[in-house]
Amino acid sequence: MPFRFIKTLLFLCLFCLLGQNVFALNINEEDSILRDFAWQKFTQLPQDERPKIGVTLSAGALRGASHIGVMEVLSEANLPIDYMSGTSMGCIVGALYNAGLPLEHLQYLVSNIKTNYISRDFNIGGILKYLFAEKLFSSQEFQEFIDKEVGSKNYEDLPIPFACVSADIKTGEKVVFDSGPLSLGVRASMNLPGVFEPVEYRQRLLVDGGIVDYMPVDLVKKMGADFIVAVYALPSFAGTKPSNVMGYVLRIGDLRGAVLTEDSEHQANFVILSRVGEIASLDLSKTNLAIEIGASSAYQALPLLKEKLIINGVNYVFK
Amino acid sequence: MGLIMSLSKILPLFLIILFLPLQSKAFFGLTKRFDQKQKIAAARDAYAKGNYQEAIDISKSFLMENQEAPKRRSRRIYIVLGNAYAALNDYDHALLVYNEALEVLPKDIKLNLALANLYYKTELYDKAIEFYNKVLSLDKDNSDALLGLGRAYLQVGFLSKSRQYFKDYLNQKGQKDNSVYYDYALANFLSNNQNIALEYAKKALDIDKNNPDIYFLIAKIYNNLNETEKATENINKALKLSNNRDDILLTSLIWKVYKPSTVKEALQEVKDYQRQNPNSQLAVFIEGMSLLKQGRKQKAIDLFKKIQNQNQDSFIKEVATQIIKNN
Repeated sequence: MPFRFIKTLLFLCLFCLLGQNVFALNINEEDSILRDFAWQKFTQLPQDERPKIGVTLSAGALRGASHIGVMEVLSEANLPIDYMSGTSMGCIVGALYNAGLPLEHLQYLVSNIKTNYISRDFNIGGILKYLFAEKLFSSQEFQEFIDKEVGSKNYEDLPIPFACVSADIKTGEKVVFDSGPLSLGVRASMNLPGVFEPVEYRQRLLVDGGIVDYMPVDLVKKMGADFIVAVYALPSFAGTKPSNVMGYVLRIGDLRGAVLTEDSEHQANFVILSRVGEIASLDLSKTNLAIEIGASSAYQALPLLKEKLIINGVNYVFK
Repeated sequence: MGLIMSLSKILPLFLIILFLPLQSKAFFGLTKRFDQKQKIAAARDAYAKGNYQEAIDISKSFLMENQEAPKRRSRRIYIVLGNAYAALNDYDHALLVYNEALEVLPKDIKLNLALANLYYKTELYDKAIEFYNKVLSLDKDNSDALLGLGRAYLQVGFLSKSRQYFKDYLNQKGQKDNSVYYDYALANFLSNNQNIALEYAKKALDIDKNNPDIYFLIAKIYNNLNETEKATENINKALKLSNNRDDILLTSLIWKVYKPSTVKEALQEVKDYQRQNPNSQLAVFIEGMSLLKQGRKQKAIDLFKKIQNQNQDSFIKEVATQIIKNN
């Protein structure tokens, strides 16, 4: 009798099991269906029905080339961007992207960068002067290079409100560029102290903004962003020792940047970390790799970013 | 004179004795090479017949015999051995074999390509990209490497590169291949180049008219282009061909909820779906959204609460919780 009962029970269980879909989707697959659907709705919302989105690009010397890959992914995902800010390499990428330079061209420029685009002093004479007469390199050529690439644009001409950061070496003050000639602000923002001569501008002596605000999240917040995506070209210290004087200068910048970024990360709603730590700050041969790492880091982070934004605008997406 | 005569008789014998070791070395060398060729053929034969373990055993014995002379090791035997391990899903050994082979034959295109393909298969896309690039550095027009790079960059999300490599492959090959057309269409769809995506998805469809994935992609492209009727037409074809595959069905249902004329239909269909899939959170969510669209707010909230109370954390649960909070 009990055997018959067990047999019937087993039969019933099997019947129930067969009645159900054994190939049902798992929860991640179901999530991705809802996310894809909701994201398409989100990207079509008018600006007043969604959070205003700000994107901030960190400093990071040539590691910051990774921002190009990140911007490609964000732009292809149709992320609406309302405000942008950047420091140093983040300022260069942000300014050129915002000025309408196609990302593929930007990739080409960064991968094929020549030292004479940055300074006329990168030659034997200039190096001898730097070493023996303590004369810093000029970065005037870089300003001309930016003007040549995007035309003589002002900040006010950019489709997305944009600001970048520089530092006054005399006072230690943070100097924000959000109006006037674009190329001047970009040059001032990337003007490495101890390498390039400071940019003289309105009684100030301007150097790389990375020493005062490595990842200027606060700028987009002040502009009016409700949701801030911070993009950080992550340096790695990993017990390595800088190999020369320049290495030490850059390492100091990175260490200072890491301290400053802690606070900025807390202020951001979402942080994309590009794991480019293995790439040396001035390694021209690895800019392509940095771009690839930026793209893959952003692509991995994209589903979560989409979800956070959809949740943020849930009333409008699912109205 | 007699001595000369006797020497002339001995000389051939002497010469034979002198050259015998050399001849035997050549003879045995030839037989050994013949034996090796036979072994390679036997390993390939075993692999072709699906006797992977036998292919591995023969290949390994070949490599053991040539341990002291790495140059004699044939690329073919490494490929058979690596492929046989891969066929048995022993990817660790397969990777070891190819990496060892490349230490001996670093510039061998086929070996580099085999390793790249294996890295791709094991989802180590960065390594796959590295080795496909190595193949291109040895043979800049290698179509397999171009295709591999297109697919690997598609996986890591670097879509501009993916598109470029697919384009190079298609330009070079100039031949019809629906899976490549599909992947190129997908790369363009994800990059928001909807018109190019549509063009290539249709090309893929011209070759294979019974593939639900292609119809599903076309439906999604039309949906992004806000051409809802064409989107519906194509998703229905995908549903029919796939016998109502879950991902296609749920996507179709969620689209229906947002079309006033089909919201009722969506409600009925999602209830049917739940009978077979009682654990589907998305189905409950779709039912809730259908009710919300019909103005039955309280019933909808009850369903969202049902999702909220489930143990499984998910994005769907987060959305449901947020909707409850805002209502």
